Amino acid sequence: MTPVRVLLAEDNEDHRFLTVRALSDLEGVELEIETAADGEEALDAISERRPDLVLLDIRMPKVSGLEVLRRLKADPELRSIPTVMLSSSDRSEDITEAYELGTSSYVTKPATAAGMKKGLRQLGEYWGRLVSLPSGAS
Amino acid sequence: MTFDVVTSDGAVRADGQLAARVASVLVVDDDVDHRELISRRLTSVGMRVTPVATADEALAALGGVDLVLLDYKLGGRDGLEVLGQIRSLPAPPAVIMVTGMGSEQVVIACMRAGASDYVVKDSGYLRNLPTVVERAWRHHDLERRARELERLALLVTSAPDRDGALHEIVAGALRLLAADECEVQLAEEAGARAVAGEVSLELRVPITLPETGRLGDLVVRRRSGGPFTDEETRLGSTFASFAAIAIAKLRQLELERSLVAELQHTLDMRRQLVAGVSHELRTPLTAISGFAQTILNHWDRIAEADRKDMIARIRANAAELGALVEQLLDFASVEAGRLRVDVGVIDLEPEAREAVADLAPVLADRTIVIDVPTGLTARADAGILRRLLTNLLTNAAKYTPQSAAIAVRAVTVDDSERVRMEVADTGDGLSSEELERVFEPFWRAEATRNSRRGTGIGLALVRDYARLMGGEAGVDSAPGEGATFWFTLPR
Repeated sequence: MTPVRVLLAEDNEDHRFLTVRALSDLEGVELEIETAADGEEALDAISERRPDLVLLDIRMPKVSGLEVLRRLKADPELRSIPTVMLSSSDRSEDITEAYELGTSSYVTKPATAAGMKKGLRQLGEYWGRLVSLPSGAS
Repeated sequence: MTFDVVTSDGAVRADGQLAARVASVLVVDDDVDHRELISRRLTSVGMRVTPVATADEALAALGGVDLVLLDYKLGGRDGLEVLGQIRSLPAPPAVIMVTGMGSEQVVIACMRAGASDYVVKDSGYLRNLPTVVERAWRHHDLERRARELERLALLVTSAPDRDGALHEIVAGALRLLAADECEVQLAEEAGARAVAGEVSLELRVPITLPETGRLGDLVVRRRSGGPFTDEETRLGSTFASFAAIAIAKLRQLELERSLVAELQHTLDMRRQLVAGVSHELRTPLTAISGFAQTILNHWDRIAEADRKDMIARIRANAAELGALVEQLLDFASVEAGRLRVDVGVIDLEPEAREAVADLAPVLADRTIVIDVPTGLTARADAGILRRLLTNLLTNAAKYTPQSAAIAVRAVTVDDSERVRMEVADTGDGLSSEELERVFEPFWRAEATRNSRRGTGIGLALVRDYARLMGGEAGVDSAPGEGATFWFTLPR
C-alpha cells in the first residue's frame, strides 16, 4: 500500500507535534509525514520531493505560509499540489487571502483529528483519489 | 543657501519701471488738430504717444498702454461705452476723459465708470496736460499696487508651502519696486549667493517676527535708475512683513503637520501592538488547548510518559504566556512612568546562570558561554535584571540558528564604576538602519517582519529597564558579524 506523502510546514514545535498527532489519528489512511520549520525549508522540500499534500502554517519566519502558497501557485509544476493552510486565528482576512491565492482548504489550530478530517474533505475528489488508491486503505 | 532669486526679464523690468513714470499714452480723438496738439505736447515731456482716431482703432491698440486720453465724442460713439469696454479688460490702463466745453456734467458719469480724471478742452488745457496725465497715472498706479498687495496678502496667508509663498513675494516685489533682482535671505540658510553683474543700488529690509526676532532679510537690487524712494522703502517693508507672516504661518502649519504625524504614528504603534500581541498570546494558548484536548480525548491510549510530556508542555506554554503578560504590564507601566524599581546588590555570575537555565527550552541546542567574573556585583532590581537578560537571550535565540553560539559576558567599565553586561550572538548581524531602530517599540527586523512574530516590545523594554536602573543599553553589530547587545549598571 502506498502511503500519502504529506509535507507539514510549522515553526512552532508544540503546534507541529499536535498537528502531526492529529494527522496520525486520522482513520483509514496511511500518511508519510515530513516536517519543515519554516517557509524556506518547506519550499526546498516541496520542489525536491513533490509531496501529495502540503500543510502550511500561515505565519512562519523567513518565508510565511501565504508566501509559500503564492510561490507554489506561480510554479506551473507545483501548482497542482493541494494545500491546507493552518492558523490559530480565525481572522477572516488571512483565510480570505489564502483562498484568493488558491489554497484548497483551511484548518484552524489546534488541529484535532476531527478538524483535520473536515479540512481534508474539502479537497474533494483529490482526497478521495488519494485515500482510495488501489493499494491504499479504504 | 539662498533661494528664490528671481532676476527679472525684460518684460517684468519694463513693467516695473512704469511704477515710477508713465511711459506709453494712447491719444484717442477724431479731431486731427487736437490729436496732433496733444501728441506733440506729451511727446515734448518724454512720453511715448500713439495717436488714433476711432474707438475701434483705440481698442485694438491697448496692448502695453499705461494711460488713455479718451475723447468723449468719437464720431457719434458714446465715450462712456468705450470707457466701459476699456475698464472691463483684465488689467486696464488708466483713462482720462477729454470733453468739450459745456459738457462737464457727463464727466460725473465717466468718473463713476472708472475714469481716473477728466480734461476740459479749454483755452489753456494743453499746458497742464502732462501734469494731469502724471497725476492720473500715479493715482492709477497706486490703486494697482494696492490691488497687487491685497492679492499677495491673500496668497501669503493661504499658501500651502513656504517656498511657494516666498516666491510670490519675491515676484511681487520685483514688479512693484521696479527692481532687477530680489531675494529672501534667511538666517537659518546662511551664505548669500554672489550676484551676477554690477548692482548699483540695493534695498535691504529685515524680516522680523515679534517672538523670534530677525529671521533674515528681503533684498531688492536695481542695476540702473534712481535710488529707492521712501515710498519704495516702505513698500519693501510691507513685502518683508508678508515674508514674516508667510514664514510664521508655515511654521505653524509644519508644527500641526508634525503633530498629526506623531499622532498617526502612535495610532499605528497601537495597531501593531494589538496585532503582534494577539498572535503572540494565541500561539501558546493554541498549544495549551491542543495538548489539553489531546489528553482528554485519548487519555487511555496515551502512554503515561507521553501524558507527562504533554502536561510539561502545557506548563511551559503557560509560563510563556505569563512572561508575555508580564512584559505587556511592564511596557504599560514604563509608558505611564510607573514601573517600580527596587535596587539591591546582585551577584551577576549566578544571576546569568539562572537566567540561561530558565530559558533552556528556548535556547535549545545553542552553545551558551557564560563569562562573568565570580563575585562581580552590580546595583539592580533583581526582577527587572532577570527580565532584561531573558529578553536579550530570547532575542538572540530568535535571530540565530539552532546551532549558533551565544555568549553572556560581564566586565567593569568607567574605572570600575559600572558593569557592562553583554549578550553576544553569531547570527546575521544588523544593518545600519536596523542598528538605529532596533530599540524602537514595535519595530522588527526585516527577516521577521512578514511573519509578524513577536510583540516588538522586548528590546524597547531592554533599554527602558537599563535606564530605570541608572544604566544604558545599546548594540554593536555589522551585517554578517553577529550582534552584541549590551547594557550597563552602576556598581
